[in-house]
Amino acid sequence: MRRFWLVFVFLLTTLVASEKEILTEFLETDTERAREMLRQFSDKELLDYYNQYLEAKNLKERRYLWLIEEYYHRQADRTAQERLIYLFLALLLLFTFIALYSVLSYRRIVRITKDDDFGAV
Amino acid sequence: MGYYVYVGLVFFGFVLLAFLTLFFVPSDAMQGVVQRIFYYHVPTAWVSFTAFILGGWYSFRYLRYGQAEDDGRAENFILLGWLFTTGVLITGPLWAKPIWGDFWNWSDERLITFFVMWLSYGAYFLFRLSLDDLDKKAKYGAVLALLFLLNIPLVYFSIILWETPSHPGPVVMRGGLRDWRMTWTFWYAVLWFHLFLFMLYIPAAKWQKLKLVRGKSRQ
Repeated sequence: MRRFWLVFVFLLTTLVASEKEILTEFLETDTERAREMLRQFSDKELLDYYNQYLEAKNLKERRYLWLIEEYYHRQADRTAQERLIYLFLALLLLFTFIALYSVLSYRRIVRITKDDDFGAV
Repeated sequence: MGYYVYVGLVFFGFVLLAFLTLFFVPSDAMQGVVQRIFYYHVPTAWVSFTAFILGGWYSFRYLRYGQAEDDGRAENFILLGWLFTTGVLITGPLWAKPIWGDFWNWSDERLITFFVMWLSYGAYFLFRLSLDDLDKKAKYGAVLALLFLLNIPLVYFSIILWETPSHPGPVVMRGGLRDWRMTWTFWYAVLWFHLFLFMLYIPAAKWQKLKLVRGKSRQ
């Protein structure tokens, strides 16, 4: 616990004032509010907090964080994989339109050539 | 009949391509599923180069032999090349947004030279449309097509020449695809996109031929 507070003090000394303020609120507020705040962080803010946190950790602790990151990474990847089936169907539909268009165009040109008197020229 | 069989083969080839790229290849460790756009983005770019080079070749033939058929072939290849280039400009930003956080980077030389290529071949068609004289249209169009061809090596080597900041380096030629599934899928995609180019070219060429026959019979 003492260590946590040491890290906390370190974080607050290296982040910009506005970020410090938001982080303090995030860490001290109740769970529901914290979850709500989590969604509102910008990508840059998240990156700043992430970097500051990493700087405050030793190698073992950083590596432990890898496990958490890998877990979330796999979860996100699995979800994305499941959604790929929709992309597959969309691509298939798109290509069917292109192929049909090509076949119909070709058929029409062949008919015109046959019907046309100029075809004999 | 041959063309319908060809379209059928290309269609089944596409089903296989979509399956390979979406379900067979593993996801990139750093970029996740977004990296799969690579199997469409890069071959589309390469096939556009092929189309522009063929367009340049037929333009050269037109200037040398003066055959209207060659001008028609050049125009068709350049139009298809331009369409594929448009495809590259759609798939590239789709990849860039989640990876870079932005759709475009104006300080990247690969992107700039590619965009210039897209604009220049767009201008080729505007130029042709602005002329009524068929001979002038074909002749000046051929000169432009050969001129714009000079940009292609610049686009291709831009990532080496300028060591572009954000566009990935030459992954394929320098052994960046370490997984055999990625390598085979990539080369299959390159082959398939070339077959696709000719699937679109054949009706266009037939139409061009018909127009020529009609033109001759009216003279």
